[in-house]
Amino acid sequence: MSCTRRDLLIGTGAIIFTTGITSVSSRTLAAVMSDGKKRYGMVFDSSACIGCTKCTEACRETNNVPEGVSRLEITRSGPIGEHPDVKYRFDRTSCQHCDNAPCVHVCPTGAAYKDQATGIVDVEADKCVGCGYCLVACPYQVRFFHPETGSADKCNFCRDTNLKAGKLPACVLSCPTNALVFGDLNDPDSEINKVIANNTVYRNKVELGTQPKLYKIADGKGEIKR
Amino acid sequence: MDNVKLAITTLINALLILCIYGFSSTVSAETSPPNKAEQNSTRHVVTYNRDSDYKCTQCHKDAKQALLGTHGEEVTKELGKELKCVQCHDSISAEHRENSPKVTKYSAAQSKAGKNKHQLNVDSILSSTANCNECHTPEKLQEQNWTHDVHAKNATCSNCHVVHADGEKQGIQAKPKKQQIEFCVECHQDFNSTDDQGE
Ligand code: SF4
Ligand code: SF4
Ligand code: SF4
Repeated sequence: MSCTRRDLLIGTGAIIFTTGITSVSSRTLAAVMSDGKKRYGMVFDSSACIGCTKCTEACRETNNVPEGVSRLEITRSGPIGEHPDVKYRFDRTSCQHCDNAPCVHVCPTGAAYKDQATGIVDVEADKCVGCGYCLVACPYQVRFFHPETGSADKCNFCRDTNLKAGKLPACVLSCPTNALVFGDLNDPDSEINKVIANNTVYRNKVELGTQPKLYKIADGKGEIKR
Repeated sequence: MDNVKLAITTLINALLILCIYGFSSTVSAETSPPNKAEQNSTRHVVTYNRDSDYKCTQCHKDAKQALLGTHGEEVTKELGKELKCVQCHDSISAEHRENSPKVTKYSAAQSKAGKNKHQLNVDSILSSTANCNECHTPEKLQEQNWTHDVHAKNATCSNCHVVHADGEKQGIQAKPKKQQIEFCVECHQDFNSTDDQGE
């Protein structure tokens, strides 16, 4: 096997590139975006969530999501128990960033796609013709038509907003109880992997084979609604 | 027989005269007192003050007026009488002027430690809210907003509500949704960060 001058340059370039980046990667998110293959995921800790919906508001502002539609819903169920010990349960409904995403498979134009570098499932608004296949195909029912662009929309982990600016997703940053953890599932040392390893977690509808990347920590208030 | 008739008539007449005399003497007795009162007008007259709030408002000047914003007309209509200071602030002691150590207060307090928050134990919070709960029953509160339920043991009413003010305009219920969320965030962020510091 011959090693041309060109191959060598690319190789050394790649080494400098990756090593240069890894030293930064632990600190800023902007850097890790371009650093090899990521698998971004999220943990929602329903035992910590207080149902304030600050996350929904923050998402709205950051990603220009108008009233009437939402990329992220916090649902409340209850009441459980009697005064003064009444409890409620909170759940998060948002895109699960399926590794095996039905919405991507059914899209006829390629507008729904999975970004190979980050594992984020996103929508290219210009390519979307508004057929609504993805809205029907998504087993988690999280997609909607954006009232302004008319194209399909949903959570994209703030890929084009906060992530692009090197910040954590808006919902994660805004949560007053730190109920949300975001990070790279490919990195064994990431916080998200530690949280997953140290808690009883579950994912919604795994039996469908969608391989979702939104993990949830059980709230200890009864049966898990999957 | 005539004698008997005459005797009865005389007796009736005598009774009638007696009655008229008695009536006229009562009338004259009723008209006489004003003269006596005129004579005594220089003496101090003690009158009862039926307003139990009078003394309170001599010092707590605007408190009553402010209270009417939340507990005014509507409350009077529902209770059938005006709400008095002592109905909520009871056990006023002799040392009231020295920091009022015994009177029941309802200041903002919460069960978890926060940076600028007053912390109370669960029992004290429950006894503080119990009085409000007499009218604002847990059932009604649950119907109005679920957050009442989860704070029953954790916060006093005034943590979120302005009791002595126009609650309709100044209370949390008057705020738009976005600002209401900030109420949640402010406290929960505060004691969550305090938790992290191991306090
Ligand atoms: S949750 Fe729905 S929208 Fe999100 S990737 Fe899966 S199928 Fe697609
Ligand atoms: S990650 Fe970003 S887009 Fe997704 S729900 Fe959170 S704020 Fe919204
Ligand atoms: S901001 Fe955090 S605590 Fe509030 S609803 Fe969202 S996840 Fe729950």
